[in-house]
Amino acid sequence: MTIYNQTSPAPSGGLAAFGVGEFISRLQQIVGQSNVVFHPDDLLVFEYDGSIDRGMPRAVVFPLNTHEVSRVMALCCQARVPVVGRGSGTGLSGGAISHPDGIQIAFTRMNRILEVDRENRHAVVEPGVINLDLDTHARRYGMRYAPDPSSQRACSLGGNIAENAGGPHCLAYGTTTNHVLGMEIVLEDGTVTALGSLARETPGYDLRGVFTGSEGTFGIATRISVRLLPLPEAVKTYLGIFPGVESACTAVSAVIGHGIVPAALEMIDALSIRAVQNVSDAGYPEDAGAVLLIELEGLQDEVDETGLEVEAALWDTGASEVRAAAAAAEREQLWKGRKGALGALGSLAPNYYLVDGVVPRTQLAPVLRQVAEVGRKHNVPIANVFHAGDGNLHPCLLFDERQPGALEKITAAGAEVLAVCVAAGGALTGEHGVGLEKKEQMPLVYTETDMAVMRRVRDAFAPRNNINPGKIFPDGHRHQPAPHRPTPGMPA
Amino acid sequence: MTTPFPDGLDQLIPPNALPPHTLHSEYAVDGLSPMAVAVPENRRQAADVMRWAADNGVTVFPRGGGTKLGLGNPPETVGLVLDLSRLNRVIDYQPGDMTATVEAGITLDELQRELAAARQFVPLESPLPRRATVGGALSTASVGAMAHAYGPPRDWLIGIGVLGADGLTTKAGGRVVKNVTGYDLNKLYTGSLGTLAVIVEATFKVSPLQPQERMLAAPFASMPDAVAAGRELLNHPAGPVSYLAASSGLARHLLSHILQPAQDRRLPGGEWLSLTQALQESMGGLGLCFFSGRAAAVRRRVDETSAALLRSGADDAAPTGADGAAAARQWAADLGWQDDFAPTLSLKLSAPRRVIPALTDACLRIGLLESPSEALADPGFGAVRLFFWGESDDAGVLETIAETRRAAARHGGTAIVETCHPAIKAQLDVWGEEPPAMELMRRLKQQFDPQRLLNPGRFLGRL
Repeated sequence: MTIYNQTSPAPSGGLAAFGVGEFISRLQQIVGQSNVVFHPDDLLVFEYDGSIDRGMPRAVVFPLNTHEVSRVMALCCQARVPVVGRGSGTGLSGGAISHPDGIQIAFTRMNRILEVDRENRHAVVEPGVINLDLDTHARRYGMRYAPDPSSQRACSLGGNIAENAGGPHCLAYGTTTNHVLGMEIVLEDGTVTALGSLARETPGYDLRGVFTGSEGTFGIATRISVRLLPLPEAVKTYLGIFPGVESACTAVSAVIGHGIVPAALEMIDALSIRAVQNVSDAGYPEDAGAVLLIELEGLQDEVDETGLEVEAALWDTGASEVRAAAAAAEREQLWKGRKGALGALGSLAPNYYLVDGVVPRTQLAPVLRQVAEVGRKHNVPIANVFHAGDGNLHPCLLFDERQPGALEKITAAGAEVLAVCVAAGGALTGEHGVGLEKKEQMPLVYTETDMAVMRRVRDAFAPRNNINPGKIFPDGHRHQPAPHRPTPGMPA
Repeated sequence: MTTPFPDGLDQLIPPNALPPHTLHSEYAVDGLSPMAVAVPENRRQAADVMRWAADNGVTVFPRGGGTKLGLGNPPETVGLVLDLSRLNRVIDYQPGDMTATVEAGITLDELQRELAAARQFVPLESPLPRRATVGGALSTASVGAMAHAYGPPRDWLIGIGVLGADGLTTKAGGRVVKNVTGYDLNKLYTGSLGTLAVIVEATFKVSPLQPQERMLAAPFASMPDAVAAGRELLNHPAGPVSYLAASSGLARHLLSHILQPAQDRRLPGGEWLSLTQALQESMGGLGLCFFSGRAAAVRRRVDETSAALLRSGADDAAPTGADGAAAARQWAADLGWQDDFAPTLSLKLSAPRRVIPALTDACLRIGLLESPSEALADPGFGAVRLFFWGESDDAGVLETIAETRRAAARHGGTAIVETCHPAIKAQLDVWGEEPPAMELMRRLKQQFDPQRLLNPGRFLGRL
């Protein structure tokens, strides 16, 4: 079941050549004895992230500051021991999974919010800061951190940078990359440098832009400056109940057609509705075929005016019921089903496999039909809980890992779902990253030449390929996932 | 180039794609005529030309509409100018997807016209949009008055097709609005001045056209007052969506050349700004408040901003309709780039938004010999454009640039020289001091263009 040691050969040199004991003791000299974990029992929790991949690191270090990160990186580079950064381990593509001969650098101790500047609308944080903690802190100053991945209670800013994390409200505000001002980074050889600044623009290549979303293969961000946005004057949430996914997709097009870009536009399909209702009553009728959630933000006048149009569009496209809420507690109630949907899938099957395909908005309905067809063909139930406004699907393939051949079946079905997305003009991943999971499917989207150009960027940042090697690009090794148990409150 | 210029270009592309030598001076870069010019009719021809250049070691200077060709360090020699203006097709536009894929040579005006048919637009701003191309606006990361409201071009580019220095065509990103499949090379190519690859195709996410646009113009006794007022207004929930402050000389130019003539000629299409002569004479700075959105929201923004302006010391808050606002936006974008209003020297400063009032103040104390500077400040986005119309010898201009850069650095910002005489540009790096990550930038250039064929020497650090 282990995955990583089958996919990537160890680099020459490595731990064995250096001597494991000697290497661990050097790490301890840098970060302190208690901040290196290397006993196999202690390493178990670092074997997984939120995806279906696994890989046991040889050690995990917990540095306190940039200087320590730099020294650890330099040591690993010298010893040819691969390194991967780890935030909270909520990633969904195997991005933080360690090379079997490598170590993890975990940022649990580097979790301070260093600065919040109301006038410049920015915050400076360490990479281990939790996304929601930053947002909560910013709200005290009348601001917020806009990117809100569904794992925001757990995921870290460093991980968000690596994966260019999205979230429901990215429809209006953009993903992580649109909010990063600058970074201090450590390169694989321990060099510390700075990308961007506290200004929106800096001369030269936009390195902070290409670093964001590089899945931890360029370097490690040790200090991150992000933009904060002022809180909107008004927020209103609409929930529309539809007979089926098709009519809900028509509603999505109708809203967009009115020239409205909501702050969030989310959809839940019938199977997910059943799961949600199994777990707790979110107020969805049993025969509901799809639920749409639409959130509007802005000036009160804007929200009022566009709200009327949204409401009309929902009725016009066949909604059987429309609910609206402006007060925070009531809005929370409307979001309840959406936020709990993935966790609720556990009531239908022991395991799920979450796919992150993205398609042009107008292709949503036909692609969802084809996804359902893939499910029927493989006899895999598929629940959909997703970011409809930006065409980012999240088909959840339900299965039971204890049944023989189940893993192979869902892996094959997942690959087919992604092929459907790409054929419809879409891409492999909207917000979760390629990582280990989808690297063999990269040729569906990019030619060898396209990928060669991407590798050049990596070679500029990490010429020794000693940081998070074996990710993103295909290397001909079959992807063999390990199962992932649904955990309430875990990401989407 | 000591060896004779290689031939064979005429066998790759038709004669009408190769302007004769007599026209080469029209394609000069910083006064240097190229040894060859190619104006390919399609992407395939462009790729053939690029491959030919790579095989023959000929330097390539990509060109769109030629509006910002003077940006960058002056080249030593100019091999081939690759004019992309005939690659101007809309490849795929799906209003329902809110994405548009176009060839890089399409002009901004043409692109916006196509999108406007479906009541959409892409927030790209560039000087002289009838000539300026999408590829040029991306390569120079061009921003304008609405940068605070909509963000820079990097926020709107979702897919890209480029010609590499080896002549190979590659792509990154795609046609979906949210995509993390592979590295985000869109960001790398945007603002790279064609030094890593030549942009031939771009896909944008687009935005709905806002039903209403308005502007308020507010004269203040001083430029610092105008900048400070903008900072306050942008913190107001019902304030303007973008704000520029223009120093008195620029403000008078806007009023007398753009807004007043329209008012006098009673141009159709909206109410035009009118300020009394007395106000214009006492004006030290002019605040331009831009509004766009739904009718009710815009009305409230205009009302509340108007009241706030008068409270903060503005002598008036004169409204214009959509046409006046659009004219003022275009005037701001064009500043410094038109031949008939060309400054001796112009710089663009970027800094954290909080320091913009202080930085503007510091910049206005810098002159060129006897002539004062003029500034256009954006306290929302965090930028100041600085213009000098005085005459001076080289030493004077160099000292003015150095002084501006010191002021920018003191405030945590940077200053690039946008326009000045090539002889002066040759004596400095127009992009300023090398940043900490310069070594990474060099490595990237080496990876992408090891022969140094693409716009060699023109970018930061003379890459």
